[in-house]
Amino acid sequence: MHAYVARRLWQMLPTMAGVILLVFFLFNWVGGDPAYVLAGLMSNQEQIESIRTAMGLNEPLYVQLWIFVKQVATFDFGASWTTGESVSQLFASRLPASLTLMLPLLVIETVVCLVLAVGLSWVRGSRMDRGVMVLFTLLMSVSILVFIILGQYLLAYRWGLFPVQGWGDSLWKNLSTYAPLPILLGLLVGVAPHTRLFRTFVLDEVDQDYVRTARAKGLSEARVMFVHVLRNALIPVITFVISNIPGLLLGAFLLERFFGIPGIGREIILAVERSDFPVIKAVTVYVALATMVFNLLGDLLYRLTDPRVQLR
Amino acid sequence: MLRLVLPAMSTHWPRRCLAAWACVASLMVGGAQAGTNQADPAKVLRMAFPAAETGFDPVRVSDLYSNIVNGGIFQPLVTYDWMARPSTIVPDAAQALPEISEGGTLYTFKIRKGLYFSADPAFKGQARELTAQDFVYTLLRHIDPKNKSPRVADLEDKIEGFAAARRQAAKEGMNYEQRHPGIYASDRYTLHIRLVRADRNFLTLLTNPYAGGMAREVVEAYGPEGIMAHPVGTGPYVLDSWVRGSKIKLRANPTYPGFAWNFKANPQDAQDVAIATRLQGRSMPQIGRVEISIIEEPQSMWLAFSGKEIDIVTVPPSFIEKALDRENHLLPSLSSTGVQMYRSVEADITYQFFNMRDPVIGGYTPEKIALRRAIILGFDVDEEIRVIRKGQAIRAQQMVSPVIPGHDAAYRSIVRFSPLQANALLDQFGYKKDSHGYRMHPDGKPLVFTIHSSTSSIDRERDELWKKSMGRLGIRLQVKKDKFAEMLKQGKTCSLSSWGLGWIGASEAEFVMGLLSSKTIGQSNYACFANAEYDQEFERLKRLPEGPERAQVLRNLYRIMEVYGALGLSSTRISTRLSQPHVEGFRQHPLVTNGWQFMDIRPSAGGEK
Amino acid sequence: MTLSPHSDNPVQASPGAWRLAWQRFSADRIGMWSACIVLCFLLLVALTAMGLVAADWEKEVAIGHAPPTWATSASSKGAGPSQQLPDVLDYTPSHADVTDPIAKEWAQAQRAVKPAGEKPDVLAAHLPMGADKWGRDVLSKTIKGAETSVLVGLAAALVATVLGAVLGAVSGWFGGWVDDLSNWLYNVFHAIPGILLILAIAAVLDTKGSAAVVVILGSTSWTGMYRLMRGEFMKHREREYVRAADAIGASNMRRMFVHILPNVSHVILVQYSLLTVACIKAEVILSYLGFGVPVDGVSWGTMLTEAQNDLLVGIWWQLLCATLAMSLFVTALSLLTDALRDALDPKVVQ
Repeated sequence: MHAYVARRLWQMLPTMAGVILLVFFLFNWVGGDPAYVLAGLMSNQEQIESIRTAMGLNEPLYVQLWIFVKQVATFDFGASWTTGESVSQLFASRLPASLTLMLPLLVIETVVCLVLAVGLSWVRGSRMDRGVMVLFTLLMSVSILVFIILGQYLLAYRWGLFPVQGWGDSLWKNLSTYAPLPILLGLLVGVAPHTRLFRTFVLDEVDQDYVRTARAKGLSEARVMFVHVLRNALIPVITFVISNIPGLLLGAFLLERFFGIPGIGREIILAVERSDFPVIKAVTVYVALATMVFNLLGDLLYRLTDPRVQLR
Repeated sequence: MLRLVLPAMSTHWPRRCLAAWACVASLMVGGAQAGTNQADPAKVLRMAFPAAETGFDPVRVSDLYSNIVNGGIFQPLVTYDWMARPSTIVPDAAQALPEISEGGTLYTFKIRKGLYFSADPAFKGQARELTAQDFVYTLLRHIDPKNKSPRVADLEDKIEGFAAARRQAAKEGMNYEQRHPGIYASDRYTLHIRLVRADRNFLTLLTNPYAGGMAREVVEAYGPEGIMAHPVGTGPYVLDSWVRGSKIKLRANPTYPGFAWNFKANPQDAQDVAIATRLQGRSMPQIGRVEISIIEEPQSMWLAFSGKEIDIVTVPPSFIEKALDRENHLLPSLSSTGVQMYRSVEADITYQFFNMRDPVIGGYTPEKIALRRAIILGFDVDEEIRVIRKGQAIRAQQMVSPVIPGHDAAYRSIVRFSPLQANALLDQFGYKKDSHGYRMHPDGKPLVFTIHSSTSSIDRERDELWKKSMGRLGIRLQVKKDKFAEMLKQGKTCSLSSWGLGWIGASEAEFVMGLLSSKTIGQSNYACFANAEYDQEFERLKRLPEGPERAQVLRNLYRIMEVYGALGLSSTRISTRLSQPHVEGFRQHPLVTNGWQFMDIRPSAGGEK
Repeated sequence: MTLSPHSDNPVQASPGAWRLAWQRFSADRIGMWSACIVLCFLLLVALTAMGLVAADWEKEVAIGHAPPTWATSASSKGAGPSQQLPDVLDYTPSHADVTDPIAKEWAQAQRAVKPAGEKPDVLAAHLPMGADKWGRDVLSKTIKGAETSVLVGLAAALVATVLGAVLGAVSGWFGGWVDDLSNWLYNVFHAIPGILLILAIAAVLDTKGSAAVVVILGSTSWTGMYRLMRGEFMKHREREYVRAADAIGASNMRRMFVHILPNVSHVILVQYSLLTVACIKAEVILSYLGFGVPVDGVSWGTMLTEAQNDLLVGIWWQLLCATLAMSLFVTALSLLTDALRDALDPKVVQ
């Protein structure tokens, strides 16, 4: 097992190197002259030149690449170009809000979708199954933008069930007042694709021999589905969920934007709008790293829990 | 999504005042005992910004929203009388308006005694009084190249020795010990500023937060990055907590001396008269806490106000129909609940500049002049105001907004929307149409007019209007979308053909007209306009006192701009601000960033939180 | 298809995979309906691209924000609270001491008169699906928007498919260092979440517009196709028919593209369809962020972005029309993909 983990970690290095190269290529080469971003509307040539020197932009490319590699290794990406806030500080302060939104959403969505998936597999092929699948397809065809606009208008404004936007200071207030509507909308958007995916996982299980055995032993269908199949389907589901966590943090950027939640997703949008390269670069590199680590975790979990799979 | 109300707005804040003579009748912000602050912590003002702030070091930031906060924290030498029209400069941290001597080049200020900075660990437990040296320090900080001050060009132009000191600091690093010839303190409470030449508008520069008193110990204790998050001033408010890009909380500064509300309203302005009657004599400041959220989406902003989650709001233009009826009166559904409205013209101007060095539309030859004038004639500003700004703007006849000193209410431009005249002009100069119906250059080469714009939704709407407008003239239009920084770069190097910009907060005509001075090419003169006659008149403008001669100079400047087609003027915004019933005295001064200390909240109407 | 004992040739060629697939597909009613709808849309897109339909989408034919004809209860407010602007009464230009270099021509232009017989445009008060703020027909915009969104989606998906398929095929076939290099590339792109990569590329790209959107979406969505193709090619490489081709001396290229490719084309087709759906939805997000098609064009994404603030002031028709159109097409395409997949790969149990 240790050998497996070590090998996987070792394999991450070339990928990280590739990510670093890609980010560097995008931002330092393709990205254009950042000195003007820092300089602002009223600067003159002198100020701009001094900024360029301070940022090392007059150095040859390979020197800049080396600087970037050092930054990544030491987790120091400098400061945001627009606010001067250090990027690591930025992460630390925004992460809690994003997590407050995403973790409950993740848990609720996983539970709901898994139960739905098992239920649908039970009635597989029936009218209800097909009907629900078509409904899901319909749900998936509507853009998240429309969900948010309508949701905010109807549920918050017209019917007053939730606050329109905002974020509080205490965790409890956030969870009880501000997070519910975004979580609800996130759930509506995510329930269709995730249930479909989980359903394929469940169906893989349902065709296995042990299910036939269980039925032959006289167990009720409900018990077969919701105890045995569910338990085994949990494995790929949890693996998927864990691998998906980094992507989820970002994916909520629209929710964060519309509801004024000070999370990482919203920061990225701001950074893109303001051409704030240090922030975008740092986020890309960190998230890539997190994705790989979480993938590894998911894989490990899979192999540890599923006795059928051998650890090579 | 509207980040800022204007397309790619510049938030230039040079502040000058027209009426130095009015200082005689200045209304003192009446003094009271130091250290007694009547503000009630139970009174909370909740508001929102439509765009994120950047930080709170007034020397370094130039964006509007950071400066609104800075305006509440730092105290400048002089400020504007809260209600007087036209805008009148009155003393703030200074005891009185300065003594001006030596032919108008030496300004001597006496600082009020008993103004203290808010408590901060950098003061090591001692009460720290505001001194003249603090103002010296703040202004000197602009010289330091590390601070990248956006104001340094204005200050250099006016204060003696500034330019030389900046060059020296660029080479050797900034030396704050060295006595500066242009700005120095002769004793603890006396400040001297020496100007390069007599200047009628210098005082307006000093009304800004970037000229407020800052303590050197604080800046050195926190360092260049830390100081953005630790503003320490002598103003009425103190930064309490800050979640970047999300929430700013301030509370009343205990060391700020209170005063009695005592301003005279313009009798023609019913809104102001009502406010003055209500608040006269009250001890201020009353509002104990201010909470500012950042709400970028206009929908969220409007819903926050109508859902009573914020107390004051500038109505986003896309939602103006929810607030006003056809005659621009507050809708009964709002006024019946006690919501109050304050409508005012802003100190801004939106325009489209045309690059004089552009190969297609630039140049000073008659054909090019005619081309630009035709393009400007073809753009329907009224439709822009009607559809894009929902009627909440005034068509501009001149570059200076109606609320900025120097505005000439009788002035009329030679340019007025008329595709008919535009087409006639183009026909006369040989811009014939090709087989597709698009005009070509007189020499037969194809003509493509390029405008640049950002990706914001309001710029997109303007692009659509430009397409329509140019379609009427038969001019082929190309719209180039760019990032803001990229357009800045091209604009400063005179390689941007045309772009729609705004100029906000200029406190005197001089600071608007500087947009076309050849000296500001590479900075704010994106039209790269260089005309000897204009420059000459502009220098005269800077020196002439108020009077018919100056008015004539301004008219000439306006006319030169129109004749050469350097700018196509659009409009000046009319803002509609609403406040909840429990807010008293909410209004906006066109040139002052904030006035929380002049407002109150009635607790019985539900103002507490 | 039955084998008759009396057939002339007792050993009949088995029906091709595609034939069988078609039979299965035609039995799927939902699949058939979806195919119809998708084809209708594609036909509409083709007609629009040729300029036969919605060619006048930019013309202002109605009062701004005119409501749909069937929803006359919606008030037609025009644009904004004040229709009459406070206008200057006297418009004589002021005097200034400035000479006009084109004074003569200017004076002449001022005397220009409107040609006689020009009638002012009549603006409609109602349109089938209402009008946008400039008075343009929402229905025409939706159709034109369909052309843009669908073509952008198809093009972006094509770029991703070509990239992923070629890379995957080469990688799966040759193995060795080619495989390692491709895998490395795949890992790098896969490690960065799609939306982040899209945003990062959008942040640095100078050009905007449809081409940029296609490039952005195409260059970030190829990883799924890559993985599929690689797996397929690795699988088929070992198959008998390929070995046979090798035995008779077929070149690499020939074996890959003449022999294997037809057998994996159904996988490509299904994946391409899925990618198109994903790209159309992503275009909406990119438009919202401001990276969408320029003003000369309209897409569903730009329509939704424009309409987002209108809902609150009671203008719902543009939002409705764009959402319905997009929903219809995307749903139909998704259902079609499902039906295709079921038909082409019978191992997948419904």
